[in-house]
Amino acid sequence: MRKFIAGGCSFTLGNELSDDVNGKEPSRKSWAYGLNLATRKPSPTLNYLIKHNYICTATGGLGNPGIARRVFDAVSQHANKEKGEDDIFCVVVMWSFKSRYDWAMPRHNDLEGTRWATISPWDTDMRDEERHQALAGSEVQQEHWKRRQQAMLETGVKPFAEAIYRNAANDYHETYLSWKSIIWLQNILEKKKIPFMFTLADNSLFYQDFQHLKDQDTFMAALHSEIDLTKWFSFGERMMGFNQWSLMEKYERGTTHPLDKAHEDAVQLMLPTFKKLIGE
Amino acid sequence: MFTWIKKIFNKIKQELAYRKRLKELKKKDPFIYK
Repeated sequence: MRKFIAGGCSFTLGNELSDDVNGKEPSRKSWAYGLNLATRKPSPTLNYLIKHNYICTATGGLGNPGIARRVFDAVSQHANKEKGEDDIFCVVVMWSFKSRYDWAMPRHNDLEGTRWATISPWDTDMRDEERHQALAGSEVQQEHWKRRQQAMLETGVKPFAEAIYRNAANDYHETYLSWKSIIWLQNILEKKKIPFMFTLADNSLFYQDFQHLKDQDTFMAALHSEIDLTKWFSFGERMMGFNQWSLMEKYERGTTHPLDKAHEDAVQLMLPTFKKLIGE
Repeated sequence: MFTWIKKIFNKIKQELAYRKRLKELKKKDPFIYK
């Protein structure tokens, strides 16, 4: 079976969707799984259904450099040795928030692959009241948070997160890191002739309010010109993202994510562009 | 004397800027743990 590879953060893994069990398994209600289902079709002899093996590399809280890394890893691991890249049917990615970092830390068993850490603004010190508000009283998430805080202290990620956000983090560098990750993955997929479609969760990847981030200087303009926007699906003007669209359209939400119906409808919106891009 | 006050003032300014930036980032970035 050829592989359908999906990349992204919690919006792609499907945290909080109706079949989600604490983000342990990729949801079958997510936009990415919906696109995978849409690629099923009868074989030319009509005696069986052509399906694809769904490989979801998304995890909750992942940032853009981490998304690119995990998709690249899947592409390199899953390409069949005999069939090569032809064994990969397509790749779809929903890029996430710029403010998340991906770092190879000194080895520790609690890290992804004993090495990789995803760092988000939520990994800095937080007042109890703020945490309670963010978790909307969810006991499961409170438990997750407590366990993760302990692990973050042991692995050294927490003090590192504090240092980054306090002394170094800035929008310019985060834009640079995200765009570099996007271009890196795009060029690899193009070189390997793997069909792909990119989309996004939030347009802060490209805009600050109404101002395009490429207009900051000639370097950013040049970097942006390397992104092949013909391979993208956006949910509206100014590269509107999935999360923004679901908020605007007032879809039902969980604690922090749009629920099943938003994903279902997003698939319908994406299908024409998706089919065109993967040549179906 | 003035250097000392200036240092404290800058520290407070940096701390406020840090908190403001974190607040803005957290507003957009959904809280989710794996």
